Amino acid sequence: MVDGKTPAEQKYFAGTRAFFSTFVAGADFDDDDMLKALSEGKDGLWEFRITFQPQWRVFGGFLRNGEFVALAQAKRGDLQKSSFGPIIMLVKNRWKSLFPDQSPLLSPRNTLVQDFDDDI
Amino acid sequence: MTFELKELSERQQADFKADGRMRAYLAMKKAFKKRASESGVTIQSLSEALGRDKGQISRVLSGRSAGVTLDTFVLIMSALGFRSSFDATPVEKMNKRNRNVAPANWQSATPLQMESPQGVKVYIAGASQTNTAGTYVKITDHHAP
Repeated sequence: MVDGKTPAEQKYFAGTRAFFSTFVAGADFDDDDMLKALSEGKDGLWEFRITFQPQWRVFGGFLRNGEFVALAQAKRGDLQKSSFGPIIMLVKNRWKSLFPDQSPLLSPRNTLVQDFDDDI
Repeated sequence: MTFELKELSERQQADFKADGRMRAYLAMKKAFKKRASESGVTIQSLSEALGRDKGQISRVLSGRSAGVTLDTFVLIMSALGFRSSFDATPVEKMNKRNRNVAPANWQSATPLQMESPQGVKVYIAGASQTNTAGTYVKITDHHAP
């Protein structure tokens, strides 16, 4: 991830790194504040929610428990203007091209965010 | 082990500060969730207990606040009936997963390719064995046992 050119950018990028680091480290992501299912969970797609400004969303699905595949990102403000439909379609298409024989896991969130199985 | 004081780069400083903010946020969220689920505490009741604006407390607990002072952090935790430990632990004695502010293999991480050039890029440590033409990276870290 880039360092950022201005102090504000540096703070933002560092915050984003810290956000994902806490997920990797096993912090509690078991609520909608930081990780929310798209389309009420029927497609197995999720958004990571960067809530500090500028708010950003990172979209993808879980290949295995604790193993998230990030496939697209967007500024929240832009999503408000255009709706989530196009990016959901983009994420679905990217998933299908990467994993044609496997759908995103449809397990409950508290199962998906468990520690990953590191023996693959 | 001999400790050697080293100059921190701007990036390291930014990462340490962000890590502290994130830990503080998660601690407040954890405290609030426990009191909300077990004792019915709400944003409204917490803001009233502190004599603060409901919107401010909401922003803090949803992570939308630009920054939280140590005083505000302590006030919120105290109002929720929690005390935060500020004990000092040498990083070499900590569990690996608690000590770093970035994935351990950060230098070898590969950026996830995204379309928006000005957007967030997600760097994830650890190469996947899945053949995905370089567009898939695995969110993982190498935890200490």
